[in-house]
Amino acid sequence: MPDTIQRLQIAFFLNDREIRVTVPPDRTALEVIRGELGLTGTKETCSEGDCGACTVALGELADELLVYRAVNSCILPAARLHGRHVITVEGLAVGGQLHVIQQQLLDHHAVQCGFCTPGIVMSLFCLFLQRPDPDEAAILEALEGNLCRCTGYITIRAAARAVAGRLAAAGGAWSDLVLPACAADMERRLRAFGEPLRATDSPNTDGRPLAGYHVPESLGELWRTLARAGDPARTRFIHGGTDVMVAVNIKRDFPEHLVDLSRIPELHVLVREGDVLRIGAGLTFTDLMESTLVADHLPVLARAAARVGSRQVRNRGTLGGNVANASPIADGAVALLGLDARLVLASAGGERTLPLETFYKGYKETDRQPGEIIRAVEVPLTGCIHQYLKSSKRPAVDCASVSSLCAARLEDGRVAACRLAFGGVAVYPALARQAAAFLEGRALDAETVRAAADLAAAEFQTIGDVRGSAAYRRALIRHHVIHHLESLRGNAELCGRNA
Amino acid sequence: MSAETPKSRPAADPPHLSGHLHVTGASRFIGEDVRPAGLLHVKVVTSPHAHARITAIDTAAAAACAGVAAVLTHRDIPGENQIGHVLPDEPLLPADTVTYAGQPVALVAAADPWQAETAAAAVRVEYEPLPPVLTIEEALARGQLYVPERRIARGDVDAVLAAAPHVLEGQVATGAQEHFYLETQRCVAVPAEDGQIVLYAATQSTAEVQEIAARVLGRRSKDITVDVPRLGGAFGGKERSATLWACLAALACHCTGRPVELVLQRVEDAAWTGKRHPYESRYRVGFDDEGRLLAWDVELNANGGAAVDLSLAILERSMLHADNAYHIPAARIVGRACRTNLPPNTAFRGFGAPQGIFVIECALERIARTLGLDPLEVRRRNAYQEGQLTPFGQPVHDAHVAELLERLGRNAGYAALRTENEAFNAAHVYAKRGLGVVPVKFGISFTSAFLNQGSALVWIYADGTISLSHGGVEMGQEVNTKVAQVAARILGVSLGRIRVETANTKRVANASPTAASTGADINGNAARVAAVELRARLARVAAGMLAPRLGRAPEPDALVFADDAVWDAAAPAERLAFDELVHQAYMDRVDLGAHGFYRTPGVHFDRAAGQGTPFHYFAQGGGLVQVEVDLISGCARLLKVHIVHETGRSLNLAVDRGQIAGAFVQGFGWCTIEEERFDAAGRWLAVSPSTYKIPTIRDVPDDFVIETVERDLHHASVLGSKAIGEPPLVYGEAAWFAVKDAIESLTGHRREAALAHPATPDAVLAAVASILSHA
Repeated sequence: MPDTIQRLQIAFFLNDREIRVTVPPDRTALEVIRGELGLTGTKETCSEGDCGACTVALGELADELLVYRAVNSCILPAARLHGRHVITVEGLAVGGQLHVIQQQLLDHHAVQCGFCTPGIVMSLFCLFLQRPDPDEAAILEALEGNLCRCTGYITIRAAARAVAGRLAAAGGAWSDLVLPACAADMERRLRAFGEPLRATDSPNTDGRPLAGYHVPESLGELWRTLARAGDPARTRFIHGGTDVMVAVNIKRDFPEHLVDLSRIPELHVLVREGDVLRIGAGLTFTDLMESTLVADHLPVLARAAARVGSRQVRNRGTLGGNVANASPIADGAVALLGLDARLVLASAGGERTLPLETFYKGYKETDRQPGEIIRAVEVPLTGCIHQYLKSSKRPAVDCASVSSLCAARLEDGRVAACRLAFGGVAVYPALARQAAAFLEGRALDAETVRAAADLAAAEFQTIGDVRGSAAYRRALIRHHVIHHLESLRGNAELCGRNA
Repeated sequence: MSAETPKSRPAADPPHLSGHLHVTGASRFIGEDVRPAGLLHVKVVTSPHAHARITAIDTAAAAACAGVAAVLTHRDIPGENQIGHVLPDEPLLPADTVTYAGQPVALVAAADPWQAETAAAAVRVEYEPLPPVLTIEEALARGQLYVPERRIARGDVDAVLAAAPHVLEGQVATGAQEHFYLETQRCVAVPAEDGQIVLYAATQSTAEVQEIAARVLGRRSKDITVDVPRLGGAFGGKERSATLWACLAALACHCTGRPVELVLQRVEDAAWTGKRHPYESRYRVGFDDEGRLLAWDVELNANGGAAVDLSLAILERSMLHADNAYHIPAARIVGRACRTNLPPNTAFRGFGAPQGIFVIECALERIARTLGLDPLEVRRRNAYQEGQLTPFGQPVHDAHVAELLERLGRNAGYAALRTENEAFNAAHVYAKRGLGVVPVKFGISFTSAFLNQGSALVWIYADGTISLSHGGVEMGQEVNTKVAQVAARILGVSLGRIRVETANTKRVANASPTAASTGADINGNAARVAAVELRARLARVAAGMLAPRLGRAPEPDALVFADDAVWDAAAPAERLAFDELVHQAYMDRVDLGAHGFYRTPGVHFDRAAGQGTPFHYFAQGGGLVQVEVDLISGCARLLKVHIVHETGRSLNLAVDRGQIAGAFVQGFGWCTIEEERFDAAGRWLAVSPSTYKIPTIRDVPDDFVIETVERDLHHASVLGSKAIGEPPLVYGEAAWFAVKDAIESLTGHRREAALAHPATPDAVLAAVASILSHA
């Protein structure tokens, strides 16, 4: 337990108010909103970003433009509010007049116990801010991270459609219906906001676990911050926070210092350099899904990103964090392994690159050294056909039981190249090397497909856990290989649509 | 008074009474409104063992932690250390033996949540582990039943089975289900003068919490007030389970003399509280060549957990629904509730009926397959006809299941869906479609007859607005909306005049739990009684006021109360405004308050004989589900849901439709992706939403049709309406049968799939592998 801890002085905008709070560094945004500021509309249910009841709209500048995104405030460090605008469910209705989203939810009887409702309102708000005419897929994508135990969702869906109808009727004035008055001048105010996040040290009288939360704004400042924090073993990096904050909230797994990488511009590059796509470790899954560069050159990565968590999680979670967290079922890591990506690691001492396939050493163990960050991933553009599959108990917002990426190229009906990466089959994302080697040079007939599937299933010692039995995982490995190869053969329509 | 039972509903259903508050975040849940200064935070220390002797509890280190106001154990309980209701088998804080993992052993109250958590971790409890009994099988082998097995019997089952043209035997297991109410268990306890305590408790059972909190504190009911503004979902999980947490908060409040708040974290709630009872059942069924049921011999075994809780009533409801919607000439229904070392399993929407119904539905499906008959047709053929007796001797009136199934088949395009599925299945190697249909006949009333009573307290203020209190707890089912509608309709006033108050033991004492789908029936009827009384008093005043204007004294019975006004039916132009009338009544010193009381007529059940009329009436309908099963992943996707449900004269069709959809989705979750198992140490495995998966918006198909059948019935409740909360959950079982149908299409339905419940992707692939290996 640290002797002294920081008192963070956080300044931000909450609905139509300008806020200054002084809080210990372990505070979450939700605790500040509900506790210090007394706005209880935003609810806490799971504390791990899996239910959406705590969803708020977080407005921040991206390339000088104000963008609001739905985030789970329970896993958002309060420090991340600094210099931002937060809109909560209380911020939408003006002068007793319900917001169009609120009115439609009410009119469609899409509210029962009301506990999930504020989160639903805010997820829809962020959706409709982006576009007045979302299709069904966009509505589902926006709401898949909001659990409701009462309604069965059909009235919520109907209300969402009705909102789109109202906005269509409003024509060019649609954004006036969506954007609340409190956001009117916010872009200018956030641009003008120049105050750094200040902290003072004070004695740790309550026995709090976290001493400091640091937000360096460049790589150089990062190295200086790390040097000041001392022993790197007592420091943890946080980016989106979608893993780190879950560990904090649920397992009470606190480091002494959290070092936030989100304001380091060097981590947000996305460029094509010849036959390599260089992706900054700080790009969120939403960034990957919205990037035209990714869509043009590596669409499978956007498809894999779409299978990560919920909209709220994708808005915060980063590719680098996904790789560094070293979960055996990390969608990003499995996809990158299949794509034969290289990691660019950086530390105060310099940079090094290494193939992702040599990065993992054991369960949640990696080759990353203390004080070292993942700066970027480099993905070769090979001309292979890619397919990402994820099987989970529930189609949306679930960890994979087994996931896989197949990268392959056929020449004259024969497999010229093949790489098969799997998640959920070992203590870290792993390659099915024997199956891939077996396939090379072979024609894809039914027998070859079956033999490759059997080989892959035999390569891993699957285990049973709460997400599925060992036998189930073994079956999934076989089935994934079959699905990948049948798709390569042009038989994708034989397979289910929800693999 | 002809207006007492209006036949037509208003064109538009009024919105949720609190809806405008919910959508703006302005509604207040427990702990959001009342937060007195000096509030302490309670953290509970629980047993890590399913069964162990407590050898030592050392609280010294915890008590020395910063900010700690109290560390409490069984030694600090001033009254009786017992919160059991049906049997005295549940200590508040055990003194010597823990009987489930997650059982509270001690608690800490501190100024700050972090301090409470730190101190709770410093409480040292030493245990001597004992072998736990976890499964039904073990419990049965050891004879660990709470009470001897129960029976309901009719006819000579053995003789009929011996003579039956066909007999099938089977075993069926259904899984546990986590409630996953979004608002976790919680209570704020506030001290008041003279040793009183006010409990703002997240409970469905205000009177029970009051009585038991008084018991453990050595006080009486007059000393404890329970107040419930609303719940963020409950589904049965706060009917009995809430009492423990409320009593712990009450204890901390009593011992510290300060207000306290106890809120369970999600993972605590899921790990420490009971679930829907897992069942293991076996049956023999005799039937004729047409698939008609002749004899039904079934044993239903429930895993009750470490305390009896509501297990006996739940088991009873399973037994009373072992027939589901089908007439059976000879039946023997045996029920056993097993004591094990799991957290006490408890009420969950459906209350045992879904488990009992699932068994006979499995049998019906097999009968159809065995005879090569259509499963829907076999169900229709067996459905109760008017006046036929259930195995427990109650005649079934308004027997409409056969008709409702016909309507379902016709309107859902059942035959075409079958053909469509066959064509799809022939064309797809790795994807198969299936269809499932399940009807329901759900008995409405508490099977403990004494609970079928409701109370309401209605005050008309001198300004013409109305305060309405009733015994029900609002938890999203909109009992407040419905009860207010009843009062508004009888008094002829707009809903905006009415404030429905919090559920509070001081305004409505001895309230039955808001459960068994009866909330609107018993409390709505009580409000009706109170409103009718008030209207009669106002009518006398109105007659006096109208007389000079009409030149004659109108008959009070001829007065119309509507549109916030009162008039003589024969002279509609002469209207008294409701405000004007109320003001005059006040000036005339007429009592403007009324207490309404209602007891459900005619319900009784003789447990020893297994015979009686436990239900006021039956709710009925049918549900159809079409699924597509992906054989690559084992995932089943719902393509279509079609439900036909009879509502009587619905008080609020929008509310009823919401209940139907929500119940269906819970039922289908229970039967497919919601998997809750325990490990060898007796701990629930899936205790957070990252591992316990309830349906998301993506799991519910766009093609979701709810047909409500509104009509006058001989047997219904308040203003001709019917209860709605639980029955539609059963339709979710159709999803399981649809998955099974899809898997069995792999062998042209020549073999039966060994599909487990719930039909998770894991279970689906296992069933596929099994059916193919035997093909």
